[in-house]
Amino acid sequence: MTMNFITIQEALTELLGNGANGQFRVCGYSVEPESGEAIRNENAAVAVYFSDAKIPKSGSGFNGPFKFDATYNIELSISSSAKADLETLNDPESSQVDRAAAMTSLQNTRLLADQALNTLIECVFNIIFKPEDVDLGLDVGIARSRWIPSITKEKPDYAGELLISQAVMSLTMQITESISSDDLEPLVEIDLTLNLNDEPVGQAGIYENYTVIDYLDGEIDISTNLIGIQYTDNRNLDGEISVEPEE
Amino acid sequence: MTMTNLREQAERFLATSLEDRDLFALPVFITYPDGEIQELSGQVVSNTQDAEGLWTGRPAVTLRLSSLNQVLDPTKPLHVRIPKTPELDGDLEDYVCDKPPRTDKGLGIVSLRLTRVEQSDAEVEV
Repeated sequence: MTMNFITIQEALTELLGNGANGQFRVCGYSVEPESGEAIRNENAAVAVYFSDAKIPKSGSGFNGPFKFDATYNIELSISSSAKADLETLNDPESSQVDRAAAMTSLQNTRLLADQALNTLIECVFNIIFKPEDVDLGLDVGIARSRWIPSITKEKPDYAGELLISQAVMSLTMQITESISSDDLEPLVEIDLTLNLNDEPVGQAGIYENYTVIDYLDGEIDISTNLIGIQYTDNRNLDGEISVEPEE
Repeated sequence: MTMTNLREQAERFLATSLEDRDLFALPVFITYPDGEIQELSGQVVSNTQDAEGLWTGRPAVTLRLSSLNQVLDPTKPLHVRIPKTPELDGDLEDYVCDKPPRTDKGLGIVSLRLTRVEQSDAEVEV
């Protein structure tokens, strides 16, 4: 069974992807920063990843359910260029006064980058806090009390001829996890074989075979098998007994 | 015979090392803040190194300071056109220099780090 914090990350990615409406693209966690060309305009990148969780012991049972506040980071990246009236600047017929006016109206790259990032933050914020998506499209109770406690802008940085601006939105919510061992592989299997009859020579011995399975949730299964075995007396040259069971 | 010092000779040599189009120089067109356009020759690179030696991929042009018609105002942007490809008659591409130029008066050169510029009537971003 998939844990809820993973389900919520997938739901968040889907929610943002459905709400993007061609204004940005939702991508997975990326270790390498994207190139400036790859995150231009409507290709602005929004990445969602599980960041951290504080799990207070007092709020949970020893074997669950576990209640905790989880934090997801939503990373926003967009690149920008300057803007100017190039038609006037490159027009051989334009006068020096016209070009001076065009130079005055030139829009600075940093200002445009900041505006583009603000717009991107606005888009994502509105999608997450849509009243109808209070449960992120999941069953009621899986993700509760979604909240964005912080939005942090990074210092813009040049990547080639474009300026990349980034922001990280923290999204917190309350999650409850229940552990199920139904489809878990056993972690440890210990085969404890006890020889209840310590005199095998020429006797019928009884072995009791214990199998102990320790599941993740602390539950332990012990299965026993009683096996009847007929032994024969075989001694080697050193006088040690080797046992050859006969069923 | 008048002797010139080594720096003066080096600055004169920029006419060859920096501005000779038969060597490495390419045409550079600058529009100053007052609208004046000047055609210059300079070194054009599309990959520049930052202070840590990393390749940033940011285009830059290096010009001979004494060839400029105007003293550059670090608070005002410049419009710069350079060839897309390293060909003297190649198509020109538009850039702006909206960060203060790096001027080295000792060597007599100025370096302009360029940023892409697009037509302002283009669609609003995002």
